[in-house]
Amino acid sequence: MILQSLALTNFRNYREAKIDFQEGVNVLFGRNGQGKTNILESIYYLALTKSFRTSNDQNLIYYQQDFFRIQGDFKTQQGRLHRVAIAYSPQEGKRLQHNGQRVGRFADYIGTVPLVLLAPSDLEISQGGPHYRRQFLDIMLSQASKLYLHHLIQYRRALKQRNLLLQQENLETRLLESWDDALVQHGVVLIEKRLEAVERLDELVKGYYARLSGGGDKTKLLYRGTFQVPPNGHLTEVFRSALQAVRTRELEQGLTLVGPHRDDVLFLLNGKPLRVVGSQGEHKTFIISLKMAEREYLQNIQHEAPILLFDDIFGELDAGRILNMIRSLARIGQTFITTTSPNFFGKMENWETKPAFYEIENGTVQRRESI
Amino acid sequence: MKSDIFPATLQDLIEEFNKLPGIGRKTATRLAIHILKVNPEEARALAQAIIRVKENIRFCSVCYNITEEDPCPICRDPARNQRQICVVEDPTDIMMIENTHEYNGVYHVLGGTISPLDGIGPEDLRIKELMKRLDNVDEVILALNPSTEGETTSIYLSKLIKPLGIKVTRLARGIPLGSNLEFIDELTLSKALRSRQEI
Repeated sequence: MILQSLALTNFRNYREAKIDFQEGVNVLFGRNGQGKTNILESIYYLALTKSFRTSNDQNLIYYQQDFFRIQGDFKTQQGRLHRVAIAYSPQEGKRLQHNGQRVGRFADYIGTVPLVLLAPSDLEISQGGPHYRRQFLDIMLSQASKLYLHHLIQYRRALKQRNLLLQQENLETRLLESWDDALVQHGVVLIEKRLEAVERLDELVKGYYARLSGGGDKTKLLYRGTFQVPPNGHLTEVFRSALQAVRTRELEQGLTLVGPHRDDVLFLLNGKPLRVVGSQGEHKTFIISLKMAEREYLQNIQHEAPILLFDDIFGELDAGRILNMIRSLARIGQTFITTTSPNFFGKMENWETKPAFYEIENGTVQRRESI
Repeated sequence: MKSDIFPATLQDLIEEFNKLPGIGRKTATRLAIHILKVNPEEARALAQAIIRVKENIRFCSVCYNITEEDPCPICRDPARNQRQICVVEDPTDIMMIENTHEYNGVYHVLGGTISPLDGIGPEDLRIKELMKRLDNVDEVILALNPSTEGETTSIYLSKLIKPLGIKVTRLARGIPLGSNLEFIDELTLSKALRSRQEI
């Protein structure tokens, strides 16, 4: 997927901006606080209809304005055009247009523009709590499968309803069991799809990690459910009896204690938990490998190369190998990179298509032929 | 808009319109001004229609459909199959199903779905009333909306009714007729694929 042009109105520190991008690599450079990440954020917003930095859309509106608007013209590998526009104001909420048509349910649209983001905060995926790993899987799978997103939305709804029910006095067992059924029905699809995806990611991460680290390190990804599914076990039955097994505790705590909302993914490096033994560098290499794996996973399913967003990830680390990887990726899609030191990219040779450079300064964007 | 510039009687009318669902302040004002302009007969007709609806329309004591006569014409119709009950959320759902002319059983209006978030439990719906009607019934068709709450309510009802030895069914979901596969959303298509039938 290629973003050909982007237009921003009142978005973050951009009053009005229109930028044309090229296929391959686009480097956004400038000093800190000038608005580089805001561009990535707007592209992310177009693809996933929300920000990765805030859940409050009001924070995205330019100072003292009352709405923002983002519009992007995308082109698929087959040459199909997608014009996507999202506008938000506190009064009217969020409105999405796809090729001139108003989209009512955003879930129908998600996945149209496949996208993978790599930002410094992604280190939480390997270093933080299970919530970050579930969120990683949910964002990837929601882009890959409308069915997944549907069941995710329904599961969350059922979970909320069931938790509320668990807090009620004199609860009728039959009623609780009805919510069990709803939870299981949707949860089973989530678990099945996640198991499948983690297995696939496991293979892909192995390859990327070895390439990036240049050594014989072995990685492993394991899906950790809140209950064990025995071989030949029927997931629906196992989930239902797992709920029954914790019923007393659930009633005491007023919370649903088992299910995909509590599952985790274990990352192993040479047989040991990365979270325990990993150095900063190893975490970083692992996350980049994981994101590369996500990209390949989405491409294989969508038959469309996802847009890659790299937010300021080239710091002190061994950038050489990563840059080589980006250069090889430049042939099969479109990449956006924010950096304070563009010389890095300027000096590199052997590009199939030379990167395009954009200087960002205080909410303005200038294309630069050379740096 | 500062609204005490209007005479009190007009103000009252605006307030009343404003209470209606989907009517904001502006629309309420526009409607009230419109009433001011129409001739007296038309305004009286509207007022009387509102009063008549409240005086003459009630809920059927059997199925809770809206009706002028109790029981409602559907419940009283001897040609209708009283052994088959279709359970719906609202009276408008009955209208939709009636328009198909495909259903010859009777109905039961539940009045909503179970939703702890909205504080609606089974006792807030007409479930007890439904259970009382099941003595001579062969089949209960659950025609609730395919929302999380609708589905859960269906599961709950089937748990209540099935043990009585009564057949419980629910509406199939799938591809709208006359539509081209290319234009079906992926979700509907994958659901239809999952519940495919042998021909």
